[in-house]
Amino acid sequence: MKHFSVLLFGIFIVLTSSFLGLISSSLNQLGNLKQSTESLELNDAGEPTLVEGDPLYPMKLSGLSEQGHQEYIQLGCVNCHSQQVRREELGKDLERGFGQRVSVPRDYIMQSNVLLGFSRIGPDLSSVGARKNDINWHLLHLYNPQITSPGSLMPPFPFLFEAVEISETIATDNALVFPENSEYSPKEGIAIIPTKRAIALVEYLINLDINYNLPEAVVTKNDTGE
Amino acid sequence: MSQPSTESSYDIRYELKSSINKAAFYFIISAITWLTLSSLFAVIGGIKFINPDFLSAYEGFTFGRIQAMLNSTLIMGWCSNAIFAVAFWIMARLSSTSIKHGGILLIAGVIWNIALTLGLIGIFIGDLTAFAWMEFPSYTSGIFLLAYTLIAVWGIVAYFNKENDYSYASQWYILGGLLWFPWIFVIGQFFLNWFPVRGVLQSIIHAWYINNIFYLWLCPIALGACYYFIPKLSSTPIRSYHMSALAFWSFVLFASWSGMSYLIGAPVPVWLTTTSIVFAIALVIPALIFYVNLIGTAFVNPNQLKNKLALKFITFGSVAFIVHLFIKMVLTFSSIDSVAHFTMIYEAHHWQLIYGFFSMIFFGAFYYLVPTLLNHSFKSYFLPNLNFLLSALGIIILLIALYVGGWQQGTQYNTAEISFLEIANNLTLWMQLKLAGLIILFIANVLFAFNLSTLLLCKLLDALPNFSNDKLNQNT
Repeated sequence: MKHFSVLLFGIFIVLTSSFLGLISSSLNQLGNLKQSTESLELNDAGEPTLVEGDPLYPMKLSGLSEQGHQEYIQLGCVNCHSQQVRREELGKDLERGFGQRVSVPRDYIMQSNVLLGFSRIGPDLSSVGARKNDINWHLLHLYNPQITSPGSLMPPFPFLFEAVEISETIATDNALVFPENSEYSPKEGIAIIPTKRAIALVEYLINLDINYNLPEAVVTKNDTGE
Repeated sequence: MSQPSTESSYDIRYELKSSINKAAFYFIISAITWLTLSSLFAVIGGIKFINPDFLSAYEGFTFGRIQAMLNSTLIMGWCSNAIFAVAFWIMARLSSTSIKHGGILLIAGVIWNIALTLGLIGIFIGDLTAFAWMEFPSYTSGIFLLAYTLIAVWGIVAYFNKENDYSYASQWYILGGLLWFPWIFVIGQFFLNWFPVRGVLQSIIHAWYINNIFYLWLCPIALGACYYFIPKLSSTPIRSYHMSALAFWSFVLFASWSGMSYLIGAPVPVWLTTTSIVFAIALVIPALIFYVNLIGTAFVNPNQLKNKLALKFITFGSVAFIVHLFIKMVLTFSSIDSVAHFTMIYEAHHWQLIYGFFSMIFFGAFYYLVPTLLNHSFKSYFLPNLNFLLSALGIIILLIALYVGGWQQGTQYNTAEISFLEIANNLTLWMQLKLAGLIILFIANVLFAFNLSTLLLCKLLDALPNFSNDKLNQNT
């Protein structure tokens, strides 16, 4: 049984070493990140401290945004959209205007689930709120991407909307505003209204924005590259 | 084109008597069912990239959920059930012992499949998690773990009770895989679902999880099968067998440390990715040994390779694996990564591992195992050979579409003047080729299921007349 114990020991060491080396040490390094003001000031003892009264970043998600974040996960958006801005030498993220600076670990500490993503069939969404903050545009885009981006590979999400007959008893003031003569417009007398889920998801999207300063990451690019 | 069984009659009797038999068939049938279902999901996903409107009115069929169901059925359905069927059998054979408590094994297998069914329903109604390759809802993870404990313990016990003093390379890989899986699974579930860590630590643990599920769960078992079947089927001992221990330890150690290469350029400490890049490059050592050990042995007897269906599958899989490892190394170069990251190249790389390597090895293993367990060989090898040709053709077409299409996607991405819409539209040809590959794979998988189930039915039908004759004789 000598062989068995040597084998077991080796099997144990392999996974433990990679767990300790890669995960425990990064838990140690990144586990205590906190929100920060855009810049730091030196206190009397000469240590950098937060500027009193300045807003803290990254901001906490609002309740509605948090619901939208859950919708984003439930619909599997992460399969085609990333949320990270890479360094200049690793691609054209900055030039394409995905953000005005590269993303850093602190950007993600307020999110319940981090959605860095692994595929870009669609564009990166780190700062989609800064690029496009028109709620109607986002709703139309979710209802059917072909309305706003003809030829897009993104699936439509009609189940996030309801078609209702325009009448006095139902409020339709938040109905989607279609471009004129759009082939996707509903029939006369029908309005497409977003459900709570669509509203939450769009609230989340238009609040995605990393164009604020952090002590370790200062906004360097000012044009959005659009 | 007949394929005489190399088993002696003693072996066959031994197999038929062994208590694991029913459980083995249960796992084989489950594996085949999940495989067929997964390739159906893959085809639906493929159609959506050509016509995004396809099935879009139904929330459960939206692309994100189809992809989640595809990943879950592949890993927890096809791969895991196939592993339970084949790994136990190899373990029992090499340890010259039998797997006891087949009844518990069977019950545990049923629990495992219930967990997976529950998980798929969960994904369909929107309970998926945010993490690729572990999308099944967290409420199923406890059931998976319970089932796994009841299953794996018998494989480990078989090794512990082995009646000979030797241990073979196959056994190291299978024992390692069986012990690593629950550990990786618990760490993933613990830090991501039960008590989520904060910030990008989630991404770090997720990358570690995916990497280890692939390289310390799927790969070791498939490699264990290679080390068992290649010498057996080609009737030659493994070439340079003395190197296999070095290959084992270097592969599992380096592969386990190489996981952070998924995060090159991501907002994580740079030392993490650098460390993993070093280990990924070091994988050249086991890759070269695998080449000598596996490919070298398989090609010693070209006649066997030509005549034995199982060996064809397994040799194809071994070649795909070694190419996969070299691509893994190349993908860590930052000049390559700046193009390949976020493109379909990573999808191709995963398909190459799961279908090109793992599935091909297990197709071969099943084509050997099922006739042996049934003691009933194929009447004609036409359809099984067709299965091999279609599987090989399908995966090659799929990989070409995804690698070449992905490279085009990456270079166009790095030309900032080309808009995202244009990049997506320029992918049409590759998406069509991808769909063609997926459809061929679907047909191949259905054929695989058909071949094995007809063999099973033939055996049952053969047994039936004897049974009724006996009855008649008794009555008269």
